Order: sequence, then structure tokens, then C-alpha cells
Amino acid sequence: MSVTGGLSRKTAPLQELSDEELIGEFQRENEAAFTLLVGRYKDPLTNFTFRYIGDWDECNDVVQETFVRVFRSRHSYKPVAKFSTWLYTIATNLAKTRLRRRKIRRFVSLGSSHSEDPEPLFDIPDEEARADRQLESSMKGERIQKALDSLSDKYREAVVLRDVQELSYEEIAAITGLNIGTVKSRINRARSQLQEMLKDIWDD
Amino acid sequence: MSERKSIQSEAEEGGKVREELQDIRKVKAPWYFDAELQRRLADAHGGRAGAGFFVRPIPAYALSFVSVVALGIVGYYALLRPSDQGDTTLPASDSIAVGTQDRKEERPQRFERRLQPILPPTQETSTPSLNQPRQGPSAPSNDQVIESGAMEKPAALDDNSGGQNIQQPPQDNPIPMGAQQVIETSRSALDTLRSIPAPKDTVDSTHVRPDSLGGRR
Repeated sequence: MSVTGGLSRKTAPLQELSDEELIGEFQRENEAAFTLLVGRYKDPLTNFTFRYIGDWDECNDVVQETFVRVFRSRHSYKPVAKFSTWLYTIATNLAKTRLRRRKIRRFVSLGSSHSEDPEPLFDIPDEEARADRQLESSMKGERIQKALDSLSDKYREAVVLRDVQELSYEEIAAITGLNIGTVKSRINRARSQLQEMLKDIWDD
Repeated sequence: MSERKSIQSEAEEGGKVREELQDIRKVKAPWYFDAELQRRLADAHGGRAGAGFFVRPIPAYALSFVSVVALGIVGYYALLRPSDQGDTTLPASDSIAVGTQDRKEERPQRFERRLQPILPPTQETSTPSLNQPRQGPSAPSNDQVIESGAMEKPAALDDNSGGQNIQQPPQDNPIPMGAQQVIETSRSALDTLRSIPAPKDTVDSTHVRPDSLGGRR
């Protein structure tokens, strides 16, 4: 992060604070606290969102929008929950909205493909130039991401939060708004489906 | 028994999946993330929002450029400007009026003048010089003496001392500070001489010659 070098002198004591203390500082209009929070969570949040959405451009957009929401709604945060839970909840809700829109878009484009108009609605992007394709250069990683993409949204959300982000069941339950039993059930189902899809990887 | 085995194998499979998911490469935010976020915050919350969060380090070349410009300005005012105030600000008419002898006496004053702050000519004429001897409150000022036609004695003294005449510069022309000081010093010296009563048995050095008044009789 290019900003950390410039801010390290100014925010040396802040770096030792917890996330909850930092958002408290930011609520008291300490701007450096927000920068530190962005620095702490931009990479984990990007990883989670990319594994959940599966699209690099939309993932970036969601993470950016998440931090804009944090900036805008900083006073609505109450210290009863962990800051990371609040942050992942915002990101998850935004990602769900994107997935819903994507489904609607696909539905509309499929419906319009039966029309007589031969012109495609959207430009087909160059697959070689896409950053997400370049990221998953290894065959195994690409297979895993495809398997994740093929899961239903509710299973994918649960298994990514648990196995990729390594959050606790309690945190996942707070983020998704489900009880812990349901969370565990979804995680197990997601794992078994992934096991089935990725069987040939372990066979090799 | 078989049910327990199936649960165990399921847990093992789940563990494998978990390991694979943990091992896949962690995706990181792009390098332009901060700049993009700053732009979005500025768009969403006005021009100043987010501007203080992402402080970019000032490039070295900008600092060096600023320092060079600052040094240039300081050097110009410290070195070039005082030398400009010296000889070049004296108009030719002034130097002619003062004469070569007075100019020799003026040289140390010029040096002092360089150290003095620059004041407009109007202020300079109204401010008394520190070197000027203080007269009583009832004593007429130099300007009053000039206006009342009391230039007779100084003019006569000048005439006796070699015909050098101190000319009163026109009011609309700004008088250079050096010339003004010379004039004021000369006036004060003449006033001091005038206040001393001359003995009657000696030659009256303050005798007014009509031709020294420029034709006034």
C-alpha cells in the first residue's frame, strides 16, 4: 500500500489499536484510522469477494463500494459486534445484489437471443486480458474456482467464509443472519458437493 | 457402526476440501485500489472527502524545485536589491547638484543607507533623521525656513564655500533617499550655524549677496 509509508509517521500509535478501537477513532473523525482499516481489510475482502462472485471487475467494484459504505455509515456502527463482522456483512449484501443482477442480466440476454436481432447485447471480453483468468493460471486453482462458481449462492457464501476466510461459525452466523446449525449444515453440504466435483483432482 | 464410518469419511473429505480451499492462492487488491477508492470517496462526498486519507509522499524533485526557487528569491532580495538601491538610484541631476566633494562625504552614508529599510519619499521627508541635531519645539522646521524665504543665509554660506548650491528638488519628483539625507543634514548644519550669533568685528559670513538668491532683490 503506497499510503502506509506516508502515514506511518503520523499514525504510529494507531497501528496498535484493534479494529473496533480504530472505527471508534474514525467515528471521532480521525481520518488516519480509516486508512489503517482499509489497509488491514482490502486484501482479505478482495479474496472473499472474488471467491464468492468469481468475477474480478465486479469483485473490485464491490470491495470499493464496501469501503465507501463504511465511510458513509461509520456512525451507524455499534461496538456490540466485531468490526470484521460488520464489514463482511456489508460486502456480502453488496455481492448478493451483484449476483442477483447478474442472473437477471443473463436471463434477459438469453431471452433476447431468441429474437431476430443477430447483434449481441454485450461485447464478449477478451479472455486472455482478464485479470481473474490470469490470476487462476494454475489448472488446479481454476478448477476449484469453477467448482465454487457452480455451487448455489447460499452454499458458496458459507463455505467461502468458513474455509477461505477462516471465520468462526459464530461470525458466519452473524454475517449471514442464520443460526449456527444452519450455517454448519450449509458448510457440510457445500463441502460434499465440492468433494464430488473435485474428485478427479485427488484421484490424480 | 457403518453410520459412524460414513460420518468419519465425510469429515475426512470435508477436511480435504478445506485444505484445498485454504491452499488456493489468496487474491490481493490491485495496486490502484487506494487511488480508485480516493476517487470514489471524492465523487460521493465532495472534493475534499478522502483527500486526507491517502497522503501521497511528495516527490523529491518537487522538493528540490521548491528549494531552488526559494533560494533564488532569497538570493535576489539579499544580494541584488540592495546594490540596486545604491548608486543607480541616484539620478544624474542629484549628483550634479551635490557635487564631488559632498559625494565623497556621502559614501559612508550610502553604506548605511543599504542597511536601512526602503521607505517612500513622502515618509522620508516627514521623518526626522537620527543624526540630525534636535531643536526646540518652537524652532522652525527646514521646510518652514524654505517656504518663508529664509534660504538667504544657507545660500550665502554655500556661495562662500565654493559656490555649491543645494537645490530644492521639485516636489512632484521623488527624491532618492541618499540625496534627501544629504540635504537634510546640510540644512540642519546650516540651522545650527545660523543660530550662533556672529561677532561684529569679523567678516559677516552670513552676508547675503543678492546675486546668490537667483536675481531676487
